[in-house]
Amino acid sequence: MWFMANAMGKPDNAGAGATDYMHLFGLVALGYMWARIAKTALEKQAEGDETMATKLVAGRFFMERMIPETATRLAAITAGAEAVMALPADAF
Amino acid sequence: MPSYKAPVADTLFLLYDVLGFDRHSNLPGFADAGRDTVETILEEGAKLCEKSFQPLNRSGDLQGCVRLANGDVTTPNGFKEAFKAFAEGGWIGLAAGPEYGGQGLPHTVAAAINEYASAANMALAMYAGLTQGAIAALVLHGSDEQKKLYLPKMIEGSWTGTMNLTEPHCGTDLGLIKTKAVPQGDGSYKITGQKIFISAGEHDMTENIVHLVLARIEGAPEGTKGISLFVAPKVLPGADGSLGERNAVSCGALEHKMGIHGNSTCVMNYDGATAWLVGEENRGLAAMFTMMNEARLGVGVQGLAQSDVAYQNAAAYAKDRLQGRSLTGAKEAAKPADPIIVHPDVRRTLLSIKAFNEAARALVLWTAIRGDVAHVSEDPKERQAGEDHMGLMTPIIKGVITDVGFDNAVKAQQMFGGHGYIAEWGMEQFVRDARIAMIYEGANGVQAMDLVGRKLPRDGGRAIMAFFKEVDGFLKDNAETQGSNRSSSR
Ligand SMILES: Cc1cc2nc3c(=O)[nH]c(=O)nc-3n(C[C@H](O)[C@H](O)[C@H](O)COP(=O)(O)OP(=O)(O)OC[C@H]3O[C@@H](n4cnc5c(N)ncnc54)[C@H](O)[C@@H]3O)c2cc1C
Repeated sequence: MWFMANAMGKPDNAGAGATDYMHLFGLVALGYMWARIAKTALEKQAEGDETMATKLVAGRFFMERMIPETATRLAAITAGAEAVMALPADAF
Repeated sequence: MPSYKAPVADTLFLLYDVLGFDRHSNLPGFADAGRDTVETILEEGAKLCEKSFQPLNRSGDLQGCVRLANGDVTTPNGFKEAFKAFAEGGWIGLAAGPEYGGQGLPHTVAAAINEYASAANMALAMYAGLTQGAIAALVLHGSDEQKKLYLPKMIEGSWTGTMNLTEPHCGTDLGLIKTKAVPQGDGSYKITGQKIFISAGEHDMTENIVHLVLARIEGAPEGTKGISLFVAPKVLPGADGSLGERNAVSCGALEHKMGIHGNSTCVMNYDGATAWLVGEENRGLAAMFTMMNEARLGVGVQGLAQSDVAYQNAAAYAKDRLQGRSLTGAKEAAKPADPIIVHPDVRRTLLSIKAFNEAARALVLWTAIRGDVAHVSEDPKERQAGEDHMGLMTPIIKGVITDVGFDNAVKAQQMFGGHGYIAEWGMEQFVRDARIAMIYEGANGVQAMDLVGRKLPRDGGRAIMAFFKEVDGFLKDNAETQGSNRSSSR
């Protein structure tokens, strides 16, 4: 965990990455939910439930189009707090 | 005019097919929560939300709440009757204890109903939601006497509840609270000070309002360690619940605000109001925090609700609105143009909302189940794991679902082109209403800090490690058959 190595002594690194981390975690948690939904949907589809096809497409969309945001979030977190904290308040 | 259909089939699919809600049928309250029973309950609740809450959403937004010269506040036409119907149906106390008139069902079922109510009419649903929050606080921290006096009235919906935390100079940093409580020697206190932004602080829907108030007892330490929780009813009740004198608490003004116009947002003035301590002296913030998980879960649900109702209307519009032709040749050649649902960019937008909503609903219900298990399980390990999970997921559900829920309301509005900007279509109301959920119950930036600063490191990272262990286990178990799901693991 990047925070453990970089935020203990420099709490601003945690503060600067917190929102990105929250969304990164959110994507992982939602991705896990989709994995569970997909497993059930495949089982029900195998039993002949045709309504499950829609769910499988939505889940695929999530994995292809939304999960990649995790990379952006991770890059932002690991950039750390330097630029975030560099400016004096007057410069804003 | 916008419409709303509660996603009952989706809720049931998630609860029973995906999440195994009935696995817990050995636990108190869960025995009555079999699929057929819950289906009937959800269908009933859905009907009430669709038929009596939703038709008042736009009219309530237009009319708003009004403060009269004497400090009374009127709510929009129809709100009183709709609230009464909700109360009489037993919906406020769905998850409350039967000993106080509640239905004793798992909170998970209430979370599902709250999604429907919020999607149908967020401003109206808040009166009930705040009452549920106040009920939860009193259940956890009230004395037996307080519980006997207040809970039955609140559960039956003849009194509503409020939460008075925020003051003009402090919202996030509650250690700065100035409102003062002076002991009267008879067990009561007199409270003096000003609270702002108090939702449902004053209204005309019920005969009494039960204010839960954070204040500092005279001589208490500075900062967060000197704050206590009090109950200060608008009308002072006798021990039998009969109504006596009016208490010295009043609504000084209503805020003019961006959305949720049907919910009164009040400046509340306490001028030596009579109040009683709830829980221990100086432990008020801790008391509030124990019920915060559920309240924040409720706000996360508001984000999901606005995202879903906005999506439903955008999807309907996209199938109806004719504009342009499909890139691959006319799909409805007999018509002057194709419906916009043929355009990849429209589909991309709609799918991004849909794919979020279904997983967000799953996350809410999964967490609600774990929360219920934490409340009632007899296995201390299971209880602890449930509590860990609730604590960890609360800032995610509050912060992520309300952030993305608002974005989704904007995306759904975009599907209407210029018409989305026009009030009559109702899409701009979803945007305005969804916006507040990112701010109250702890602004989302503060949720992120709660996650990173408090929830991750707590107990040596036990909660997050348990989560990753579960995800890893699931992925290993399903690695061969469902390879395409593997991308979610990191
Ligand atoms: C319509 C409405 C209804 C409400 N209902 C209620 C109610 O019923 N009861 C009640 O008590 N309150 C209520 N509130 C108040 C609400 O909970 C607060 O507005 C909210 O908690 C934020 O507090 P604040 O407004 O003082 O903002 P501040 O605390 O001043 O925060 C301003 C900004 O600074 C950021 N910030 C502050 N501290 C930190 C930090 N340590 N780290 C990172 N960022 C930080 C915040 O994220 C925010 O973006 C309501 C508000 C509104 C608008």
